[in-house]
Amino acid sequence: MTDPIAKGTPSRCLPLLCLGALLGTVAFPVVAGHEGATSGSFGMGEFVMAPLEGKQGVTVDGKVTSGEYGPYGRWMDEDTGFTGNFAHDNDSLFVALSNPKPGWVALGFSSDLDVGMEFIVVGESGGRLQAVERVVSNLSGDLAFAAPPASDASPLETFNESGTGKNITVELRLSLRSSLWSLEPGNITPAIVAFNDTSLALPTNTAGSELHYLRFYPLRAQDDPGEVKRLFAMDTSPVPALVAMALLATGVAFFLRAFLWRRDGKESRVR
Amino acid sequence: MRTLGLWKRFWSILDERLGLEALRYEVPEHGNTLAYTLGGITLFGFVILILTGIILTQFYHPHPAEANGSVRAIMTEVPLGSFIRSVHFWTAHAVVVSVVLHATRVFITAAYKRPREFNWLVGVALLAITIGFFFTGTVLKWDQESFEALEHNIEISNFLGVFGYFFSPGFAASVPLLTRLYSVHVSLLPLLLAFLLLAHVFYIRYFGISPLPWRTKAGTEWPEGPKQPFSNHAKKIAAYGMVVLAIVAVLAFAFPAPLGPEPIEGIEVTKPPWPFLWLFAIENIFGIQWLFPASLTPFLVLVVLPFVDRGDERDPRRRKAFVTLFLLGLAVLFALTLLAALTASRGHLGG
Repeated sequence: MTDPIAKGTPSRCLPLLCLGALLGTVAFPVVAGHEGATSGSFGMGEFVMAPLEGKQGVTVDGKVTSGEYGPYGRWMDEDTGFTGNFAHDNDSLFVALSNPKPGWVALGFSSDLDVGMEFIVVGESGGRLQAVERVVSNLSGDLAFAAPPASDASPLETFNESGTGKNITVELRLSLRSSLWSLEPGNITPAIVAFNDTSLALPTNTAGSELHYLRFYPLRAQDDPGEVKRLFAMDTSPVPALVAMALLATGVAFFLRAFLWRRDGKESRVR
Repeated sequence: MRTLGLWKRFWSILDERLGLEALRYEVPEHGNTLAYTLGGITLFGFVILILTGIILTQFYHPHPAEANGSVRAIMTEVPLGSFIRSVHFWTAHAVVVSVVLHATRVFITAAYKRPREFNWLVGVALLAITIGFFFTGTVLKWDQESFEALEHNIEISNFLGVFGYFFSPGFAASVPLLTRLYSVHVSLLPLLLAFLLLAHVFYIRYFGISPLPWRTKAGTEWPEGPKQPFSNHAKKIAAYGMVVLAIVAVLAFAFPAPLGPEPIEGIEVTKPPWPFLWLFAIENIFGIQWLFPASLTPFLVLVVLPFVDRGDERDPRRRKAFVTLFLLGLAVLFALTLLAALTASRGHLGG
């Protein structure tokens, strides 16, 4: 029986077809994934932890002293040098936001992304720095700040600040549970840190400012901060998948060689 | 010589009572090649999984409060516990590789065609059970990867409504879903596996190992060439199986099975193990609601295959359309898996 395989027959195009399909199926998701990645969704936000500290651990004086906040409660934007320090004592959340530039800062949490997000915005008004509550209903693009309903009790318990005119540090003590949000230890809450590097004035929106979408996690008493940090940083190694795919691809190629691509006039030996 | 005589006598005694000579039926020579023993290698893998699994069940606690801790105890306190668990882990991966290769070989050689259609369907069901074993086994260690796998299971059961009720926590409110999945892993799935394997092996025996595809003419079966007794086939399977076992043992020693800390609810930081990675890519692109239809699609294609490709032709070079479509399908799965492997994990649950 003569082998029907010859140069240029469709059988020899099979590998090209498969390669084309492979490239096509990779290209499309890469494009789609890239578009998704630029939307800044909370699903891809950095994890920020608030360790459980005793009340005596933090003094809300507008300054961050050495050892006041533990190492696991620190978050930093590498590009700008903006830092956030977080801790809680099961009742209150202690936050210190340090802006290396003279600009306003804001911290928001959302218990229900469909409704929006509630912020504490610190900026200059009437010649002095003030901390005010604001609500935001749009969570993409430039966020527009609006005053919360008058009936809502403020989660802000204490506020203090320090600054040299070239930078600003604000320290806040906020209720973990308020009419605006509920930050339960052991639960992830979407959060946004926003700041400006030129304007200290209380903003009406975030145009021209930095926005960082975060996933905020107050630690429980039983959580080991190191293990939780490792979990948050976890990225599954691609090696097992690559090895498995390589084995399967080798097997399929072996079958194609044995059953599909046989030399003219000879039957391939199936091993 | 005297020993041989004793052995023959012993064999004869056993054969008279157990019918062992029936196992010496003839098997075509090509049935002893690696390509045609992949099913046997898979079976060998299942035997290893059952033996190591029985040992693991002695020390495993299937309750969410204790599960992770009991697996940690297996790894650190039980003698050879880490090695046995790692053998179980790596053999599970090896079985998935071998079963996919086995199905691929069956497809390429058109061994699903008349009169073997039903056995093909049994094989597809066995493939589904294998995946079910892998999934439930992933959940049992109860670390972050397990928890997120279970969360996806619950989301899918919610989408399925009444059809997903068995897989939802509400089916038995007083029993954690982890415990119920454990019972599925150690009782329901093994029972189904045993039943379907019996059927699968029976029909292989009944119809014989499928002939080589280029040895058939349309409408007729060609002579199958030289034959050997089944005992040779069994020896080959055992030999290949021992090679796989040796590789698995080395892997188990060098790379112990991973175990993360207890899970944290509300976060999604892991990616699924590699057999499900292509679904992760589907989730990223289309959303979690497409998980169930996507996971069902390959099985539906495999089920309808013998009823769509009904011609007598077995030569893959003369079935270019089906072979091309099959390879394209594999290529898509490969590409999605690679894409997911190289993409950072992200959240999908909870809308």
